[in-house]
Amino acid sequence: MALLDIKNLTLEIDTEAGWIKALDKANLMVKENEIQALVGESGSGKSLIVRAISGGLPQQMRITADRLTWRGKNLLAMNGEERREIMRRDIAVVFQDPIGTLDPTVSLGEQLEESVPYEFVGSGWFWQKRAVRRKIAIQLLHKVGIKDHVATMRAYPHQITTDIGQKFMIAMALVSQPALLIADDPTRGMEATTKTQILKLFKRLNQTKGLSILFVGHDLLAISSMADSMTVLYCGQTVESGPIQKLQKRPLHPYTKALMESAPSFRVDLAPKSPLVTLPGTIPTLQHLPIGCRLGPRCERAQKTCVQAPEIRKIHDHQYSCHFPLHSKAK
Amino acid sequence: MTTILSAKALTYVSEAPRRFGRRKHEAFKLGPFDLTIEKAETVAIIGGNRSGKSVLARLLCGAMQPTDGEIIFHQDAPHSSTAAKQQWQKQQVRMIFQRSSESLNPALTIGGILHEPLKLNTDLSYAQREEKIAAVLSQVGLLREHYFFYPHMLSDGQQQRVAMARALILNPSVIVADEPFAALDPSVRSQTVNLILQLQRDLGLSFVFISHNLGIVRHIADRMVVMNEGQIIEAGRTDTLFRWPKHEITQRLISAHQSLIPQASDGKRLK
Repeated sequence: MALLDIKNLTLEIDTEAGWIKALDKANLMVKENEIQALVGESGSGKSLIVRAISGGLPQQMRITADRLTWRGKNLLAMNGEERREIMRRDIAVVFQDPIGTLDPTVSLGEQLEESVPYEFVGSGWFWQKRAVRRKIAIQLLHKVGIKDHVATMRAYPHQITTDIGQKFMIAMALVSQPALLIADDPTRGMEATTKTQILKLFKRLNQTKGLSILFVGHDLLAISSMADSMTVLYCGQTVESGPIQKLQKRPLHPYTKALMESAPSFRVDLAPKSPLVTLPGTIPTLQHLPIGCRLGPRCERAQKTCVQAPEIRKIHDHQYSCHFPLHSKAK
Repeated sequence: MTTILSAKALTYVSEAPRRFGRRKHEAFKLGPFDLTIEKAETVAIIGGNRSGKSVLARLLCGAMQPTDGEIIFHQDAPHSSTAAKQQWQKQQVRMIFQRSSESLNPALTIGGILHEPLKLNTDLSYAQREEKIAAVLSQVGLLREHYFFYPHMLSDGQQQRVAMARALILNPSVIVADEPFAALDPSVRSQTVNLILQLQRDLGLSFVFISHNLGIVRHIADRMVVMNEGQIIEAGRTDTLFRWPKHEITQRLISAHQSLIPQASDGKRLK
């Protein structure tokens, strides 16, 4: 059964120019025991989806969705308390900019110990509870690969490096033993060795604990090495989703193909210093979104019908929305 | 190939702030090491956090003074006096900073941003400067109209281009870039890579850059310098280093990168 199921999520922002659809019928499904990647450029609404799931959106944004469910329960119809309960125990989010999301006035150890749920602490005198909290915190730090727990727990957020901060945030997210971990761009700006450590950690958690992971980001190299399936987002529209091997081998949407080609490591036959394939232009701003398929102006296969938003089509579990998909002749 | 920039016994020592009752001690030491940069080649500097990559980049472009050793610029200056020569040399090595969006002054238009280095370094008149700016804007793939834009009106990729234009405007022969691709999206990143390749081809620029992205390093760099704790631990041609890394740390970096790369289904190993 799907853990998290999002169907036609539309999110509107009120601006001077009227209501703008920052997310336009986005779809996403995370199954149990699965690593799902959500790929898109900055400004494509990845983080908005994450915030819509976690309920952290400002009041003035309008959310409508056919389905936004967690284990079959509608998240949008819930009251605050039920929703917080789910966020506390079942879903954990690692937001972007780990050091910025930590409390700068409290030491890291205190913050981590504070987030240990009461159920794990058990009963006893306050010093016994404190010892249990501390033990859980230290175990977690070791698990995510922070060796020097004494110094880290005593430090304040500004004293640690970004990669320690990232690992610390993952530890904090794992403390409640969630069923789903949402990691928003966890490998941004990391050097190769630290990145592989974090990815291995995710993979291991997924295999041993059965943790589902929603990996948000645009590091395709990292994603292709660990994710099972992938959803590609462009300007708030889901353009393609499916198992990662299929998307890699035979991308049907021109944008997916352009994304894949933008990473030089994916191409065997690429001569050094040869120009890379790019889409012309840049991602449009929210005020100037094109109608219909939002890739339209940048797409070389675009035709007249592209001003109407394409329907979602399916080939087995491979979904795409494009009027003129690649490889369409072979079909 | 002709050497364009070389560093001899380059050392930089930063001292930790003195605390009560403690003696002064070194907080970070870079070097001493030698480094040469040839004309029209791309050198990538890789290494972990706190390995001194950014310090090296700043030393090379003269934003920081080395404690010991010297950086020699191997091109004859068209000036005779020492002061004018030094000034000219500084213009020849220009830097692109890590986050282009934050390194542009938000209170100035793009035109104003590009006027500044010209005002400070050359004796051009206003009209000549305008002409130069228009030329450099088109060189990096922007429009003349962008002269009147403010940085916040531009997208990431365009801001990156402005940073590039600011570096190019004094006709340098070496450009030093501190993680120029880190904050960019994939499609914008490949555009920037293409721009750099094209500029290098057209102008014969030498390009020194710091990157974590080994895929791009492999694609565009001729030579690679691996740093750790202020020392150069390995340097050499990119393909040699990728195939036969000698030092343990290089091996670790390369294998970490290779482990991410998917194995092609037809048994051919992607490189």
